[in-house]
Amino acid sequence: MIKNIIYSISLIIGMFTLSFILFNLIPTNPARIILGPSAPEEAVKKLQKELNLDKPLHSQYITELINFLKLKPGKSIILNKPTINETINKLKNSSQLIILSLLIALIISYTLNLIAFYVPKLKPIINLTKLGVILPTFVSSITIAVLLTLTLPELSLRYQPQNISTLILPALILSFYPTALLTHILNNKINEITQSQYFISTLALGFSKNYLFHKILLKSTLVSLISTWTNLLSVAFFSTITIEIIFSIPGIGPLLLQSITQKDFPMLKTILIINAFFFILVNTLTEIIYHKIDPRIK
Amino acid sequence: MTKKFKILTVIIITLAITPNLLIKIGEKLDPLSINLNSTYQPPSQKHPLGTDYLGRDLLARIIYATGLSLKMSSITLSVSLILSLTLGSIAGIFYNKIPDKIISWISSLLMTTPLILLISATLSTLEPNPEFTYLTIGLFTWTIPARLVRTETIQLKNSTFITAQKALGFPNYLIMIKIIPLTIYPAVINSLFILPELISIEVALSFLGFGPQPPTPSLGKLILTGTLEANIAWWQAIFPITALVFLITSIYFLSKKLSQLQI
Repeated sequence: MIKNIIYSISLIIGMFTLSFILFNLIPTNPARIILGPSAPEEAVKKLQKELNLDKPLHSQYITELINFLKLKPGKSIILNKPTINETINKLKNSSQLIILSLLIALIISYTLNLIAFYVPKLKPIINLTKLGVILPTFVSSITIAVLLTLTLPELSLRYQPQNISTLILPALILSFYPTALLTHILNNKINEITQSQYFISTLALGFSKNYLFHKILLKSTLVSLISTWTNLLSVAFFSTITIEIIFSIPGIGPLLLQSITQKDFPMLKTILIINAFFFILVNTLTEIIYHKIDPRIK
Repeated sequence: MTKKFKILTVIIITLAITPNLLIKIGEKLDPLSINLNSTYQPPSQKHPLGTDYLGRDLLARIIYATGLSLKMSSITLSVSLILSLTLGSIAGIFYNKIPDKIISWISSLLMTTPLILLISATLSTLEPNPEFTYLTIGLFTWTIPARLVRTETIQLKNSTFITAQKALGFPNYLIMIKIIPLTIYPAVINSLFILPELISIEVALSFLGFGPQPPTPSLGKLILTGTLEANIAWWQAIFPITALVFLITSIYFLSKKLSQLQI
């Protein structure tokens, strides 16, 4: 467990270094890009001083690292607010949406598999959901969003911050690919186990279907379910960005778009590192949970 | 071996020719000429898929944009394939030693963070240039095929003919040269499955404002304007999406057929 934590700390420092390389080592001058090609030389020099770009690289690296550890990575150029508060606020909205959609996916895939287990005649439904795995999450979510805007134009697609229920529609759209993938994986595992010897013997002993599904099948699929779920977190992020832009949900997506179009480098750096931190944290936590569920896993 | 070689040649030629063919057809149909007398025309005989707000033919624009995005993603695919073949085989040869640990550390670093963030942050620091886009996407997407190449290399390393070469005292780099050609075929087939992912990254990037600049049509821009103007002109929303879905499903079924071939 200590090894895991050290490894994830090294990953976070690696991410910091990568973003440092991206924004400080590239031969282009960030101050010049921010101000545009026609800006006077003095203004560029001044901004360089503000962004700490005139010092040697190693001292830049150390001051930035210390600032990050103090959670004060600097101000955004455009919004003139501390970048970290803004990013965490937006990440909160985004992660709310992602987690809601993945919970929907989990519930739907669980019910589908339960139904197929109780009524074997309905198995073709699961085969149908396999089609959803073909399309990457970005494509499927955007397709459904377009189809919805076309078929139900009177439906209010705009997000209202006071009204949490407006998040449900985007979450449903986002949950299409995760649902298909989770159903697929759960079904594959169940098929594998139902053909094994120990399952057949428990079946012969006359346990109820409820016991078989929940105590035997679900328990042994739990590890692979959790690992897929955490992987999906980072996969679903991709489509979340675009869905947020379409539905104008104040999450990471619009913030990213804004910082990219206005060349807000301090903001981009913070977005990159905070998100990396979030995902690395989730991954480490799930690895610790694995050990609790199944101590055999190395 | 010869059959594998034939299949690889066919794949490479198809990926090289199809996008250029689509772009040529699109250019023939004229995606750029503005006609303000026929803005927002629904599908008709003259414009089979309708026109946009400047009266440009949507069919020509979609074909051109599809070709362009297929071309970009095939170039990216080749970049990431070259990277994954070299890095994956190095990791496999030095299994559980320092090079392997460094490479797997980098790949887990790239895998934990959402790719689209990394790619868009990198592209925002660079000047807008298609070559940079290919390189950047390739630089961040080599991880999945590299894992396959690594496991493939580890398996091959334990096979008898490599053990024989080791016993004869061949150095590591000569063994690597022997192993890499054998991993090319599975790596190419596996990376065909990532091609849809690459296409969607490319589309999403033009969604965020990277990629081909207007007036050159790109699938992402077509889809975005189509979605925003869906209430005025339904054809602008439905046809680019259909083209994207068609492209991706056809690539998927093609690569599935190829991976199921018994050779």
